[in-house]
Amino acid sequence: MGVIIFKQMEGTLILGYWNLQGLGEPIRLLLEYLGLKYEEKVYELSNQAEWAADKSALNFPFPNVPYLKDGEKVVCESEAIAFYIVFKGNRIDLFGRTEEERVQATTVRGVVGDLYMDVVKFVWNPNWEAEQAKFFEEKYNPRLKNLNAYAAGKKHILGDNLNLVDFALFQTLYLLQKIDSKALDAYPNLQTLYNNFSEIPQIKAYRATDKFKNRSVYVPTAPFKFPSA
Amino acid sequence: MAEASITLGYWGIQGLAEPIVKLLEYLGLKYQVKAYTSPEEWAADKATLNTPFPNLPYLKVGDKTLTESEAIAYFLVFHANRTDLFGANNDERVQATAVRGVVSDVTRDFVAFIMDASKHAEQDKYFEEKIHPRLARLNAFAAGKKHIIGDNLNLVDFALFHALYILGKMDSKVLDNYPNLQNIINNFNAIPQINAYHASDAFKNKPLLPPTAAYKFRD
Repeated sequence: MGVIIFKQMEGTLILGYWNLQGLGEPIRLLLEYLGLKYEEKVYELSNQAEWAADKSALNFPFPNVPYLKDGEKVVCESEAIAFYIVFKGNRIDLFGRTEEERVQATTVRGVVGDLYMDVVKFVWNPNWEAEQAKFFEEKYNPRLKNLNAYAAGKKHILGDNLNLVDFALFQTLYLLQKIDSKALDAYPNLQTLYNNFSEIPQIKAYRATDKFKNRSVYVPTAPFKFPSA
Repeated sequence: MAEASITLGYWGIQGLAEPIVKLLEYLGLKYQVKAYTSPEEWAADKATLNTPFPNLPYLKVGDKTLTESEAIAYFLVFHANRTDLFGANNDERVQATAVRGVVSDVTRDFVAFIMDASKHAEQDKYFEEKIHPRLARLNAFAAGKKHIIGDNLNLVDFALFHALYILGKMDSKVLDNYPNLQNIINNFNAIPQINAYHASDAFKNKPLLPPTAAYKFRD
């Protein structure tokens, strides 16, 4: 019986997002890490009409940015895009190498997701300056403390093996340090994780590029103004 | 081999843990409930909970304690050997992950609405602007399907059902224009274990919201 080998055409991946790091950045880090060639369709916040037009034509049931186009295929929703990329890059080890790791990764993803949402709330709070200390004390530090304890003795958040959740965690720790350069001072294990991730060759190379350095960290009109990347 | 005992810890309400309860029921897993009735009671247990990120809901299985709703759901899927609930293939897994993102966003949104009494007078406007656009898209996506991903029940059906249930309690007409979502709801309700659980006192006597939510259901 003959075996049909399906050869996937090497299409160009296109990542569509605003001209900032934002929710697109963990996806960019993942694409860079996996060495997948991609182009960017960059939308300017000042030109909402362009995105509105593309959104209505986007062939996905829940059109949004970020989106990933792979030939005819379109995926939206950050987590779904990350899953798609992992499958495409044939790296399902990034979900976790055992069932136990997959459950652990999902636990950490929940915690990091909450931490990221609180960063977003802070950044959009017109009263951020007066509330910054309180935010750190009540929202960030308790979670950072737990994450730091969890990270003890580990190279990446689950241990030796890099996981998808390292990408979101790294980006969130990066944002926290941009808000307050001392944010990780009390959390040496998280500093270790952060450094290990930034030293990954593909990550290091990408973050040295002009493309990375010249891109805004977040929405420039948000009350909290991030410094440059 | 003796089956490890399972205990779900939560507030004694449906709240955000209900999809986990329905999953336990669907999987036919025996479990107990530790229902916390005061913040002080929880604070005492929280301090000694043997888990890296103590929170509610938690799941104790044997000597292991898990937190984070999604992780608890994943654990139960593996525990019951039902990884088909993640999706029948990679394409379904990606779709399910996308739907989960959409359901999480809408849930986070209406939970914030429910917990903010200053917004309640504007419910109709809120539904028009924030809820109906998403329901319309979910309805389109659900066309011709038995469950939200298709023929196969998926983990994300549990979260979607609960979100639509709460929205239906907030406005009994909310699904009037979305026959495909009504179909999804009916099919989920018709699953024997789900049907039996919904008929039980354990479900019927459980409040939906915490006492701190100053939200008045309309009906």
